[in-house]
Amino acid sequence: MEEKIYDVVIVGGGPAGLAAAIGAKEAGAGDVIIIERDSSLGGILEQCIHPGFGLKYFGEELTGPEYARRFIQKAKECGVEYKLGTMVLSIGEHSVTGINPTDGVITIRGRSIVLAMGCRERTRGALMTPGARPAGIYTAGAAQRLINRQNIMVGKRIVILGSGDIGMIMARRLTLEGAEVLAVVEIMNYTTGLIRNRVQCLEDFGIPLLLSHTVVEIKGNNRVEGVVVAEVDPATRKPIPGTEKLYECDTLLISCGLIPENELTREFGIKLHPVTGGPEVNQFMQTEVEYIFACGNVVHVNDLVDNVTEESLTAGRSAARYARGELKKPEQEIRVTPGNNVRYVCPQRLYPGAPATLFFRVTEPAKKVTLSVLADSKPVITKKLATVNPGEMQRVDLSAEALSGVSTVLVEVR
Amino acid sequence: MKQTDVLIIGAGAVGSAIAWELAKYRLDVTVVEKNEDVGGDISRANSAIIHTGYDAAPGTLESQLVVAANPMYDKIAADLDIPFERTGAILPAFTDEQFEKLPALKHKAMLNRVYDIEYLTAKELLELEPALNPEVKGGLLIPRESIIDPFILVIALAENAADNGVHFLLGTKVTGIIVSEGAVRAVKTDKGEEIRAKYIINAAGLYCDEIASYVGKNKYYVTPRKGQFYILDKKTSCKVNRIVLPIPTKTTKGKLICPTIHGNILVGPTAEDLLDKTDKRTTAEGLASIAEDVRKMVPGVVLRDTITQYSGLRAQRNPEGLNIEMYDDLAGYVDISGVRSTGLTGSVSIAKYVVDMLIESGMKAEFKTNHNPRRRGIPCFAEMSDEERAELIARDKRYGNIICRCETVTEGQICDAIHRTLGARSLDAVKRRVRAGMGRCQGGFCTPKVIEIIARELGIPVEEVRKSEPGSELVIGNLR
Amino acid sequence: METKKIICIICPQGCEVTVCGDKSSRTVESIKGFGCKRGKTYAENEFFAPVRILTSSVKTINKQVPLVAVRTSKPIPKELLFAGMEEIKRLVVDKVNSGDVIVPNFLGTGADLIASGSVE
Repeated sequence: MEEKIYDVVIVGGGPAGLAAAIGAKEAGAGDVIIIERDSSLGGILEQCIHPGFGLKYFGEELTGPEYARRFIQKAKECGVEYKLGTMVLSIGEHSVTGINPTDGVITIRGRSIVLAMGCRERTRGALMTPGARPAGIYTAGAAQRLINRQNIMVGKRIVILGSGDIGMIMARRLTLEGAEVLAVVEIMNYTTGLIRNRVQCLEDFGIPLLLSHTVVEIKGNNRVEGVVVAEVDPATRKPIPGTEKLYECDTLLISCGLIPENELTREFGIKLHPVTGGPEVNQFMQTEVEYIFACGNVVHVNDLVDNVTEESLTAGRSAARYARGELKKPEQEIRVTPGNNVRYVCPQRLYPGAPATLFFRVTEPAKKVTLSVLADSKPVITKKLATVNPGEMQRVDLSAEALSGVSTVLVEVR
Repeated sequence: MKQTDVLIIGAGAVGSAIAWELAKYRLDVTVVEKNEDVGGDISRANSAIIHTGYDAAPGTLESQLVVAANPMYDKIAADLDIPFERTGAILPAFTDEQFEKLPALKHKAMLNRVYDIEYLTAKELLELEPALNPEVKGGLLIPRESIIDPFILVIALAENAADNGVHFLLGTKVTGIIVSEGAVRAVKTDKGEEIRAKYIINAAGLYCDEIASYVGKNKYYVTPRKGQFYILDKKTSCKVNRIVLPIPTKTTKGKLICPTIHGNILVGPTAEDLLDKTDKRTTAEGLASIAEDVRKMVPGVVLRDTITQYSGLRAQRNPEGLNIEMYDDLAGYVDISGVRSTGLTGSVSIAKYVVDMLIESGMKAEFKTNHNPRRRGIPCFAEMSDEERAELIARDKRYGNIICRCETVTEGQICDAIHRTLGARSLDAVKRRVRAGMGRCQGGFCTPKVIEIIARELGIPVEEVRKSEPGSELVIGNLR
Repeated sequence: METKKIICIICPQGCEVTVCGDKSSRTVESIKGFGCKRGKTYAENEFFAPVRILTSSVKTINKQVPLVAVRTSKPIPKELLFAGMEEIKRLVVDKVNSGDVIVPNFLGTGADLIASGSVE
């Protein structure tokens, strides 16, 4: 039998993979397949039953499963194939290899490959939180899966370390389910998640938010019996001796950031960006390997799924174009670098002479600032911004003209 | 009343090894273990090294048994399907003071009959370990220092013992020993039962002093000495290929860095004397001291690549020293104390020594004719070729369902871990057997799934699924 | 007369709006700190009658899919969230499709409780 070659093979069937598949089909791709490890499409959205999705993209407020459903239906309508329950174990030359219970080991070939594996959560171990190692310590997302998909309640008295969005959303969810959330503890002097979540998930329910605090010890030999919380010096983020306070709780949730899931990417030999943790891409979401595209949280962690959708549609369209022989690597690419108070900019490279949307995050919160984009040191965009927060991704659109005949782009906020 | 020939208290490394050795004889053997899983307390958290005994105090029982144990591991690892690798160790000297100590260390190794110890120049050391501090002046190579999966070692010894007829009473604590007419007769347990035994072996590790007190032989006491460790991601940029040991000072053996048998990097331990035998907390100070010390040897080590930190307790005997003893005035009782950081290595030779001691004391022991020396391990999916994987999935579909993505662990392996001899009944017990949850996401992805698999396979409600011991229930029940 | 500080959530700027007014007569004495018209309307609504979409999950009779996500079709008064949860905890559904009404006129609010996921 002749081995089938897909135009586009997509690893991951969450919001990024679904939008990439639709984008590819819209751009005229032939056979497109999504490989998904879970038993259904939708990815993390399936456990995000809270509202707040789609405000930008659809102009209405949807829950995660509803947002996912629109894309799942669309993907099915436009003939996207998919394989569920299949874990991709490696990426090869124009191919991915995975396993599932029915096919065993399968290798699927594609002219283009789109990486849409999403991200994982930073753990207690990575944070090096000292103390005992009892039961009752969960990442916020694991607790969310248990509660919203598996019908399993994690605890009664909860402390949440980190003010990431999932942590704050779980604070509300657990409170509504009758648990007592004693505090959300954040080492920074600002919430790392969205303001909307701080208001509607914490303030609505009177849940204390302890900024510039952290957990310095976990107590309990079997189940969590408490956590010791201390204030930190905002400059050094080191605990201040004498400020320790014990919170008696049975559960500690950790919501301290997400890390792009790039084991497959790295194994294949694609370099990861030291700040984003994802592969570098250009405005077509094309990685350093010209037939491999990447989108969504695997590239950089987004705070809004709407942005993921947008850049994933681009990735899918670009993958379709590559499959029909376009988008070969240009001889010269434009380097994009973060300047003052900019932590990173994505994409990191640009095709000259094509419009681009730059997403970036600031390093520090600031008010009444000026965003400047400089092409070869000449300002091409200057914009006033009322507020910037590391938790809220910023975007700026560049025209094709602005990117013609230049070799560097710098983004800065002052 | 239950009756057995030999009763072993404790299913840690030493207790399990004695059970494994005794299982070769036509004896009724029972192991009583307070924990719900075999593997003990102190045997679970250590540096996972099979030592040569090069630095033991020459002439001691510890030297004799550790030195004797090391060569046994090739066959044991093969027979019992235990991940084991003879990586070797180096002892690099970075200061003149350290360099001057090398001859004495080599001489000590010779006294311990570790004759294969070698001197290496700085150039040779840097060729072996490019990550070493380039200021290295020279050092020693100890070729037979090895790494092992410490959980699987103890589990495999216990499993093989059980497969050969040894009874294990798990979750059962010995609360007393009945002595009459100068001999031990039975143990009392927290389940309110008495188990009669002709021989009782105290292999209670950290708690051996408590057990000894039941028969009035507590001429020593045990204090815990905490050792904290870091485990680094398999993908950390700065790795070593073999065990890198520090030159010991007068006060401490120091902190090492080594690969683990599964490809992570292990850094530690501290040495902190405590009183509380349950204090396994990690501390910011302890971890900071490891970072400082290890960077002197391997400056590029990236400790922010840590995926977890843990601490283990060594059983510090006071007065010091490995001691294995039978008493003229207490027939049938064997007391084992002073098994410390070399205990994992020494367990198998301690077992041989104890069994020989029992036979010499008159215990009737005939070899079994149907003893099976082999154990089949759980298939390690992560290390298989695609062909092997396809074959396994074709035989059993559950091997096509990846539960732990970091360590590539399948549902099939987890079910095997639960249903085999002395099977796993908790999340940690599963983790020790198949590594689900040991990777960089530390169970963030697989814990919810493993909880459901354990509940389903054991036919228990989710709220009864534990992390480890009773009281460590993971969740509080169904939401609706 | 009552004064309340409200953080606006309409956009990421998070303006702090101070509303002073009388709730019973629904009159605003003064309002300041808002950055746009939508923010002003939001703050006034928050002052008089804050509303939220309630999302949760309902038990199903399907063993493979034990829960189905639900939401109110539109925001309901904030003070009814816990009463809504009590109602939701009592429900059991069989097969539902996303968008199906599970409880019409939920708690008399005029909003329906609808499925936001599906069980087949």
